[in-house]
Amino acid sequence: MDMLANMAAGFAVALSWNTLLYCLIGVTLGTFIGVLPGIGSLAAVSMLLPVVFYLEPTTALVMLAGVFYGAEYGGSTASILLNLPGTASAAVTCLDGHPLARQGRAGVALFVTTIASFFGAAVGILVLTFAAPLLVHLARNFTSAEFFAVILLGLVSAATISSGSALRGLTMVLFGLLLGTVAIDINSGAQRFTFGIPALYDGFSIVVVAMGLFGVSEVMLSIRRPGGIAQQGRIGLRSMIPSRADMHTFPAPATRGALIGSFIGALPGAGQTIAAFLSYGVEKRVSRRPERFGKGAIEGIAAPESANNAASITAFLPTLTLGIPGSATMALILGALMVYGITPGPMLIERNPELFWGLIASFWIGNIMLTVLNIPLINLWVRLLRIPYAYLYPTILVLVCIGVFSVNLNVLDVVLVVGFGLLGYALRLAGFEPAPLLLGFILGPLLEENLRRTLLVSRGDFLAMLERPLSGTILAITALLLVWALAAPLWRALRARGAP
Amino acid sequence: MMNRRTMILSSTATVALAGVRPLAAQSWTSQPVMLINPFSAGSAVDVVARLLADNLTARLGSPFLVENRTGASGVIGTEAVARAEADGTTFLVGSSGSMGINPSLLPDLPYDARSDFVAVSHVVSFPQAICVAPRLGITTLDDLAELARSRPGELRFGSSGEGSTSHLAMELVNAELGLDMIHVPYRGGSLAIQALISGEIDVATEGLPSLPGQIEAGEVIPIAVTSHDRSPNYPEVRAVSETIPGFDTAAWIILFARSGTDPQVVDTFARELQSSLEAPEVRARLDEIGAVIHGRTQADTVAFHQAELEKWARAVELAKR
Repeated sequence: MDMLANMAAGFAVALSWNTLLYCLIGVTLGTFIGVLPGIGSLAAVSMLLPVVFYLEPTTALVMLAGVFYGAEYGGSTASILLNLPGTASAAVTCLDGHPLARQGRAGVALFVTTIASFFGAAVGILVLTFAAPLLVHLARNFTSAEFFAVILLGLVSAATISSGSALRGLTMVLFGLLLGTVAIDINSGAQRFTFGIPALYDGFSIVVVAMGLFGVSEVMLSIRRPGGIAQQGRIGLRSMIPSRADMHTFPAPATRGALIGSFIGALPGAGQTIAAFLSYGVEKRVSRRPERFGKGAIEGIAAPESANNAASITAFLPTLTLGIPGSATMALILGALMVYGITPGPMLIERNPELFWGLIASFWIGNIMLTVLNIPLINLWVRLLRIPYAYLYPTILVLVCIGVFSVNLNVLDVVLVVGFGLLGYALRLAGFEPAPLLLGFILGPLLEENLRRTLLVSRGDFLAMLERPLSGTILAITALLLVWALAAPLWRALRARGAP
Repeated sequence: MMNRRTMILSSTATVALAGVRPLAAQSWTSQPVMLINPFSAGSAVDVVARLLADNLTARLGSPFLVENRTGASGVIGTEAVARAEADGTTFLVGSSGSMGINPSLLPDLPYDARSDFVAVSHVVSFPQAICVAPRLGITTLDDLAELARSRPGELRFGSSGEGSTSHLAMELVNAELGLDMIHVPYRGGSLAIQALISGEIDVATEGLPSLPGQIEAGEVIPIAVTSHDRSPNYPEVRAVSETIPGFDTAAWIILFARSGTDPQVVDTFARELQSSLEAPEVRARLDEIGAVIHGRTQADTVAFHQAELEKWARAVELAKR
């Protein structure tokens, strides 16, 4: 009953005209910055900060939150159409989304990601509403040992995301791990491969690497490939509606993705990208026909999109209830609240119920707005593909350069994005895929940081992480997955030999 | 043509405005003044910079703008100012990390923190608090020292990174009190606080303004503040200086000019900053975000910055051992 009363009060706040308006502004802005390559929610939120101080705290929070989760909707658009990830977490959506577009099914892919996004967000909101205490309890007890275990699980389950040979995939993961070592080492303060260039102190930016490997290399490849993406004749509502077979494959992956995303999102410092990669890896593992992945599998876009949207909702939990922001964008939102004199922390729900429940209610409204907003936009986006390549691709390159430059106002980033584009081009010509590289690059530094911290705390005792129930369990699951991955092909081979 | 006309118009406007402005301010505020902040928008340092910029703009009638040039622990933005013209239109929003610690910590900086910059004014400081986990059952720095001595090399202290103020402040405390604790760096102060709550570490130092939620809930216990004086917001929490005389590692904000800037401009800017810090609405906002107002004169600031560089150089040496 209490919960109902809280939700009712929340909706009373969220349904006021003023809040509705700013919610709409937030999610619309979020969608567009998600679509634009390079410009992420961090830039948008920091640009909005000076403005929001003229608003009521709840209204301001609703708008900033809308930008944050709205970006996850938009991020998949360019991934699908142009193989150009609008946000880092949408890089996963490139893997199966872009092949779908090449088959002339861009409309279906965009429709599925929009529905998956809404579904993931809805599960995230439900989890936030009903399982908040449990998640807070989990997040509070998460130490470096648990982070290490989760990241290792992510790496193992997703190491097979390459659709080609396992050896090539593994080579790329290792290459990514190496690229990830460029930066000032967090544990020792030592400079690794920075060559004394200050712009490399923080390492390569994920945006630069993802944009170069996927987007810029795609533009280069297209030069060799006359004809381009298969175009859909007329994009009516009908051509967006997935086939019955598509719909049949949708619910299970989307549900698994949403649950994985809800869990990962609630961990401070994990984030949507890991959630998306992890759920993609899981889908490929549990699929009966994993060979379809990378060639336009519906599961391959439904699961990660559902996961990153769920994660973008539950990411508010540690920020608001522990006062621990999980990402740079969250830190800005938290900073904005503190300027209003609202202290995020364990007392927030009790002390500012209208803010907390108003925000949760606004999640429902914002996500419905996003769905309503995005479905008509599909038509518009797909039409983009009709623009002749001679105009479309140079425009994309300009947008990529502007987007990458805008993050740090650093010319070196523009040079690097071209460099990673050339690298991605060379790799793809040689039959290597960029996705495992990106995965290694993102997870590698996190894996190392948490492993070394765990060992620092346990004074070099590896067994300590097995003794903790939470990290021990996750490591056991990881080991099982590894055994399964190695044993399953062996088992199949044996059976094939046994059969007459 | 259009350009020339705009120029003439704007210079007329400047002359007209100059009549009502204080005489000394005339020489340099005819153009927009950029305050370069090497850290991201929305941070505490940024809030202070924008607050001052808004007040200066309102009082002096010409725009003062804050630009965030982020990256590389503040080196990117600092370098931008070192490379700027010394014409009094570009200033650096310097902080303990970028202009106190980096010069000792990073071997090949593309600028010299001493000779490329002139300190203008130490505007504010942010007190930091040494916090412990409640399970330790202690409430003062003396208790912590006793506990650490009884368990040498066992207690773990977290920081917001290798070479951060929160790391080096603890290194100085350890050196002064002869304590042996393990340093565990995190990617940011809030993650160190999370680790304190989860039980991974025993001690963490973090800016007091970002802690009230956790302190109030009893999840972390502040045992001492690192500023020279106690914080007015937590008068019951002692200052480290009550145990270690003269101890002060509060995180400061000092505005710097490019060296070679007209000394009169520097002096004028320092006094204008002091005036801004005296404005009631500025004071109120600074109190809200937990900043301690200093507004030192230019000469005092130069001496203060010199002492800070030496203090952090020593701390970096201590941390290397």
